[in-house]
Amino acid sequence: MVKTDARSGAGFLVGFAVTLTLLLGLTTGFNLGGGGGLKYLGPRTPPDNDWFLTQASGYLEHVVLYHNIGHVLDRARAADILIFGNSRSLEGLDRHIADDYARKWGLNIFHLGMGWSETYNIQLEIVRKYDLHPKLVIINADASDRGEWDARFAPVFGDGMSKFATFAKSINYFEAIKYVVVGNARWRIDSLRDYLPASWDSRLPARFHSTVYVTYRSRKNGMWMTDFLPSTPTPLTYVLDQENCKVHPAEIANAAKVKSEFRSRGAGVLLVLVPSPRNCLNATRTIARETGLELLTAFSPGLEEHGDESHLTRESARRVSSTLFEEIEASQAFKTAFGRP
Amino acid sequence: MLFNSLEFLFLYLPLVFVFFVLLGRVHRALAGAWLVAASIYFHGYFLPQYTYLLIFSILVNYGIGLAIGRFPRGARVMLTAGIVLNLSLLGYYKYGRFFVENANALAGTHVLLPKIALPLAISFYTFTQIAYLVDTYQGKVREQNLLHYALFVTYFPHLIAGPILHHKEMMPQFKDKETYRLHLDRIAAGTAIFVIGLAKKVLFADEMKQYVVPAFEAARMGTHLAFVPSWAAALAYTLQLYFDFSGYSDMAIGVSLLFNIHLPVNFNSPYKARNLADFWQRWHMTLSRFLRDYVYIPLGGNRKGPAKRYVNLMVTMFLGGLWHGAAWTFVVWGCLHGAGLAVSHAWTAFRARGTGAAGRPAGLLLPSRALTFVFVVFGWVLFRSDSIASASVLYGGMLGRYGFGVPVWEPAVAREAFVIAGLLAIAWFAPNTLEIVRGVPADTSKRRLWQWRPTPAWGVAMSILFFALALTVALAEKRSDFIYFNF
Repeated sequence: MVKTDARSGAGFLVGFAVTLTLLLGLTTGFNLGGGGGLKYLGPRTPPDNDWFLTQASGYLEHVVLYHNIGHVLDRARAADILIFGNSRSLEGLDRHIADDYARKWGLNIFHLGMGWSETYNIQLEIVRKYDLHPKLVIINADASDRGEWDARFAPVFGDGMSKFATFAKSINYFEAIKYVVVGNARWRIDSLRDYLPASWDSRLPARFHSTVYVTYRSRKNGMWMTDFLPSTPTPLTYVLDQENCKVHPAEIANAAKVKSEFRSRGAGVLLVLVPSPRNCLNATRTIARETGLELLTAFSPGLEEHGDESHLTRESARRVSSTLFEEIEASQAFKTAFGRP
Repeated sequence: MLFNSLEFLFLYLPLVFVFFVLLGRVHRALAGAWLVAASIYFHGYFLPQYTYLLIFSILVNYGIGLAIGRFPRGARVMLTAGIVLNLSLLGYYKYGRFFVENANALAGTHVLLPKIALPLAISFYTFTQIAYLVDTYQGKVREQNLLHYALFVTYFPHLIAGPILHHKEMMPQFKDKETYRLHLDRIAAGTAIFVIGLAKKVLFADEMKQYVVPAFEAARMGTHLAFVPSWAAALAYTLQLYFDFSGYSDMAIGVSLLFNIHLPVNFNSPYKARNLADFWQRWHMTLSRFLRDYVYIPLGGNRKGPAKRYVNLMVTMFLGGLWHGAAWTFVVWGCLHGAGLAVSHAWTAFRARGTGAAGRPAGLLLPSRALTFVFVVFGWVLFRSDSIASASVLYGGMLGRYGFGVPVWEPAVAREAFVIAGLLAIAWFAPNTLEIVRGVPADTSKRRLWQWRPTPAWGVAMSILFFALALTVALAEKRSDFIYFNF
């Protein structure tokens, strides 16, 4: 079909290759650059290589963690303490205080929790997939405040997993790399809005109009960078139990299963409850009692959530973290795992 | 794996190409084996559970082919067994549920078959191999080399959605040592063809999707669309299908040229066809060729009088329709084209009797092109609809049964009208890929501005286009499959 002169083609190919290299190089270089004023709830670029992007123009967290893209689980492999949980535990635990206690104890702590009301399932699958061997697993045993199964407010010990976790599991490693690379690139492009005059905002396509939450996660301890989260401090009306709180039998069965699995791996399990207006304290107590697990509740008066009726403010997270890590240190599960203090 | 995916463009293709070139320098068989392995990986990327089916099919057909060549006495039995086996596999995976559901409807029974995912490319590799067995039986071919045979079936550029290859045009290329040498001219031409194909898919076909899905979905729900939106949807699908499938074919041809292997042309501006017979010589040309050589001619073709010829056309197109999918819409679509072809041939014969020639006055060219196009568009409505009932709803709209429905002239409507008109103009008047990248350059003075040349300037232009397309792919919300992957 195509008749060609065997000697021709070199010029075309050189032109093609040089231009493509240039374009890809410029794009990469441009993406690596920072700058620009902040119009987003989070920094345009992370402060250093310790951080990786988990949410901006798209949601990357589950894919990055499940596929260990960029070896983000390296520190989880060496973790003495793993934390399971959802966004309430990621925003409700202060990373600096966690670091302080890790140093004090001489232990490695890694937070494996995930946002979007994630259940324990995907986190346990990661433990199995990468054969993680912590000595203690701390689980934020958040029970649903809806009484019924609700995808948006799934209990940590609920069945199934979020759509993000399901998606992460459905793709292979190469697709995951593509997803993450594209997610980062998309954010770089979207964030160019910083360089446009504010009056142009309304002329941009609709997807540029919504608020962009930029979240990074630490490679060192798996915790979220919460410094830039939006906050309208609101007193936390901590109801000890919602009227519609119920424990689903599956939650107890799942908690028992998790306990049994970690016991077989040589790890203890400790339940905690990071305060939130949506907590079901008595339901969580029931789970702890039925499974024989120790439960710590870092409840103290005067806490504040940041206006979304779910997550603690940074200041409250600090207070809760201090209390909780004290309680953890004093717990039987900690003593059993580490033989001290 | 999709040609229009980042993993293919930046990972799979460069890796396969580089190792093919390097291994080709060591030994041809190594390069061939590498291509087979890479092709099997390509096939199993989405549905790895069916890779065994592909390998099984290759081994069995290769074995039967060998046996037919070696034992002429039992050749007919082995050929029959081979065809039955191939069609049984196809029948089970592709048509099983369709037949059972219809049998249930007729007999009032409730036999249930589990829902089975269609093995990717099964229609393509089944047909290619049946053709191979038939030709082996007829003594036209005898392949001894399993590697070449496996490469012929699995060769990744064509595997998923064609073109449907004929061993006669492929085996000699796999055997030729020149194939395993680097030819910059063909790599350049292949790159250009690939980028044009990618542009057709990403810029044109995917753009049309947004105008197609809501209208056909509405028709499926029984919503009555007026004349203008019905035609807009039908035309949008007509364009989407053309640019999607011809884009895929271009990409397949272009990728294959990187490996120094020529694939047959599959499209030649089909919407410029002057009648239906002409259309089928321009649309999915390798399928037409297969149906002609292995169905129409064995049935008797046009050798047994006009009446038998029209019956043969109907049978051929009925099977052609069924090949596309297990649904009554495809059956009716095939029969519609069979009937159209019969009428077209009858008209040509009638005119030849009247004038003594089959020629056509120049004045009739435009109306006959328009008539052919409208007929094809009507056919595509069936092709796209999920049921005859849905298609009927849309046909009602296209025939003005539910009012004219002039839309309010707002930017979104203007954009749709502009895009459809623009792409129709491209399909009707613009040169096709073959014409753009054809014959380089014995006499450059004869070339037109739009004709491709292997110059640095064209390299830069194609590179920028490729980069923009890759960026579009990267930023797309969802993966965009090719329509013919379903067949």
